[in-house]
Amino acid sequence: MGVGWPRNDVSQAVLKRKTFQKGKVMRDPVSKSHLWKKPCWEKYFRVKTPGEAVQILEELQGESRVIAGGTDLLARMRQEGFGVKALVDITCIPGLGEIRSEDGLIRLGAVATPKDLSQSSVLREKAFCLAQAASQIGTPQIRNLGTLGGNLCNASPAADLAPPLLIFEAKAKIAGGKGEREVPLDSFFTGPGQTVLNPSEILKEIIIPELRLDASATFLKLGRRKAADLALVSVAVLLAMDRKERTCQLIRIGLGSVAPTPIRAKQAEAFLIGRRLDDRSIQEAAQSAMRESQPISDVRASSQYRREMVGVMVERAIRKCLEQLEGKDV
Amino acid sequence: MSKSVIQMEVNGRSVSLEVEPDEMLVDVLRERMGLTGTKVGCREGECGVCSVILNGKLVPSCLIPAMKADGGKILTVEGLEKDGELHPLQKEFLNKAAIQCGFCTPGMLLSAKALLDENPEPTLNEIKIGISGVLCRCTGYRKIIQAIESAAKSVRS
Repeated sequence: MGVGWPRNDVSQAVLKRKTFQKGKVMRDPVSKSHLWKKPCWEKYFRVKTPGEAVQILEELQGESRVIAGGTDLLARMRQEGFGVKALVDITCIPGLGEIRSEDGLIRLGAVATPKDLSQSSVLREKAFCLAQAASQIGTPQIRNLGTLGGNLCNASPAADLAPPLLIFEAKAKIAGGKGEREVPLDSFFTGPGQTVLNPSEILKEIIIPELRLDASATFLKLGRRKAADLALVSVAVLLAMDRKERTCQLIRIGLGSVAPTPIRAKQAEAFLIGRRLDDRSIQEAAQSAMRESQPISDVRASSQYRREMVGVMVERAIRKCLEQLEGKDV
Repeated sequence: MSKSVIQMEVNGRSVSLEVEPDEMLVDVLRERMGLTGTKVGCREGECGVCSVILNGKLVPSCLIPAMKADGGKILTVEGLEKDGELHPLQKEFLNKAAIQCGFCTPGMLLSAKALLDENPEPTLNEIKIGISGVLCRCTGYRKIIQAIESAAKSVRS
């Protein structure tokens, strides 16, 4: 390291990652070590039914992991290399990638890709903001390979699909050895990278209601650049109002990247409900959402900036919903 | 570690190979089949130079275990040329000098191919989104976009 080099946050973080650690093979970007094989597993199962997956996961407890698209999992395994002996690929299970609409509910198969979501006519018609969010994930390549279930089970605070699903009060259908259970997405995430899933359970389906005809929903993502970036802040808002009084009948605010898990800004929601939607109330709701967020500082942005942007984005999203509602003939 | 046999169709040729469970598609293509047109950059799905078209979809081959590609149809940059004649995209990349160091070119060509297959008349913005998954560190994006625009025209006519 030369003397007098500016050492800002970024270079510190890079240094930390690249520094040699004892017992860990580090990648040298110059040499031929790109051939180096770090993540290794001894078995790769392509299962055909959820039951088969659960059975293998139970037999090899602690040594096996579910893989869907692998876009998060394999990239992380390269960096951290969890000791996993077997991968259970669930993407060939027939029907697990389907998007169906029935009885006012939309059922999203866990291995539907972001590309499937963004092109789905069901979603474009009945839950457009989810299609919007899906079209902003990663890159075209990642959108073809990643999955809805993977985006959620990876449990990144920045998961793009989480805020829009939170405002729809989605339910997660989970299959395990003792049968199936349904968990509200609200309580699905338990921390960064952590969910309520047991090691031998798999996420099968996400169920959301169709968007009410008199409501509108929107998703906004703030990143440093448009492609291949994680959200600094992402916001999803669902809004319905009394058209005569302009009072807020229903409001849900989902936030991403500003807390250990994706969250709902419930105080802001409680503040706005029943109130007239004007500049002042919208701004106050946005400020309430700022207070509810607990962002961290990292290489992408400082916590102060993120919190400030929560206010800006929530306000913007509510206004956008209002615009959409005003343009709607109900 | 038990090996298994997989079947793939690579650039129209069917192959069957014995692979390790943790072997990646990109390594199978490059090291076993000698198809070194597909490049390796970050191995994390960020840079896009390993992109191939698998069952009609553009994917990063560095994040695909070879076993996942079993039964799949793969197109690599080597498969773009037909009977000794370059693909219109390749011709336009040459005409417009859209190649600098060439490392991202296979990824760019396949991104463009996937884009044009789905949308033969892309707008400028759609082209930009189409190639957004491949990084060109010579930063020669403008020529690449121009090449794709004119290839789209020549494919249509």
